[in-house]
Amino acid sequence: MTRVRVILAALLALGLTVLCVAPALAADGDGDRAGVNGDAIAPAAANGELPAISGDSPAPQKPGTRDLIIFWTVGGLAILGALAVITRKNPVTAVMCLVGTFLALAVVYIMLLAHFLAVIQVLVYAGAIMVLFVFVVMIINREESDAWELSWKTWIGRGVGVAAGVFLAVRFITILARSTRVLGLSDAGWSREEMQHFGTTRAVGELLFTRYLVPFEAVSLLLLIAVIGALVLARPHEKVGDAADAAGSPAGQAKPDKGGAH
Amino acid sequence: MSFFISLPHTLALGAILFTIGIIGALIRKNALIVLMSIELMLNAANLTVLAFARARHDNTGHTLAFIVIAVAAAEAAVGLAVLVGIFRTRRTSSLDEITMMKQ
Repeated sequence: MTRVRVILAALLALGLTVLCVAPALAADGDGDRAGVNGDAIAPAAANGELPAISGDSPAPQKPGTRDLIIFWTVGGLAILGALAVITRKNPVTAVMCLVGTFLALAVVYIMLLAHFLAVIQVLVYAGAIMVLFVFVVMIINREESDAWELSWKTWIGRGVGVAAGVFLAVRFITILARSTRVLGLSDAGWSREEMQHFGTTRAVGELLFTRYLVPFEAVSLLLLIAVIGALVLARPHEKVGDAADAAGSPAGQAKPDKGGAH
Repeated sequence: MSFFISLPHTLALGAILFTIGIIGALIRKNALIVLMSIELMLNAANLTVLAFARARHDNTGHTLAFIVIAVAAAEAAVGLAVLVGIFRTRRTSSLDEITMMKQ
């Protein structure tokens, strides 16, 4: 129990840090952007197409050490949280570590100028979805007694799983390392308006309600179906039987008809 | 202080998180942990999409990530409801013991 409390306290501290640091970074960024983009906009900006990817720019910009340190500190927190998710026996601990991972990823989103998505990440993922997980963990309160059971059959499956995962990681990283182009996510080549507009609620909302209106509406339909499906699936079977019986018998017709018939 | 992360670093972080998610989904028996691993993989994919959106100066990736989050919410709701339903009838959440389709 004390361990869970320590983890909760750590996650709370992390969340508070995010809340404190994010506005400071944003404000700081505005000042810097003004300085950088005031008079010296890189020529790559002129054509407007993929300025960061154009390979023939004379000096490909490298990320600064400070930015890399910040990025891999936050990213390392995310990785540690993810590792904890798949290794902890207690599901409550796993859920809390997943919340930590999501908060760290929200910070990475802010670094990628995806402000709207960062807020959505904290609200929807760390807030709503994880609360749902916590509720289900409370219903199914079974700590795995043998998370790493020693049976040759399961060990074969796990070996295949780990081998597949390691293979995937090695492939990913070799492909990334072999890519010759330095794709720096720099601010050179961004006009000031574009920079301030990028990733905001307004920019994403404009796209969602004009060009991508149909997918947006499809998502609303999907959510409606998910709500109904979850209700139907999670409802106790006895209740369904009772309702059917009550509907069949003349005495109980009034109540179920309200919900069911229309 | 605007950040200047290189795209390969961001993609590497996404790849690592995705791999951890895959390993978790393959080696764990607890269905709850498997669902969490799937959420982890969706987040890694989102990270990749957002990194490319940043590199290409294109907000379209953000709408895709938004839709992915909505789909993840729906998936979590339905998946957890299925889990609760199975737990109610079988009193288990271990994937090794959910073998009704086999018999």
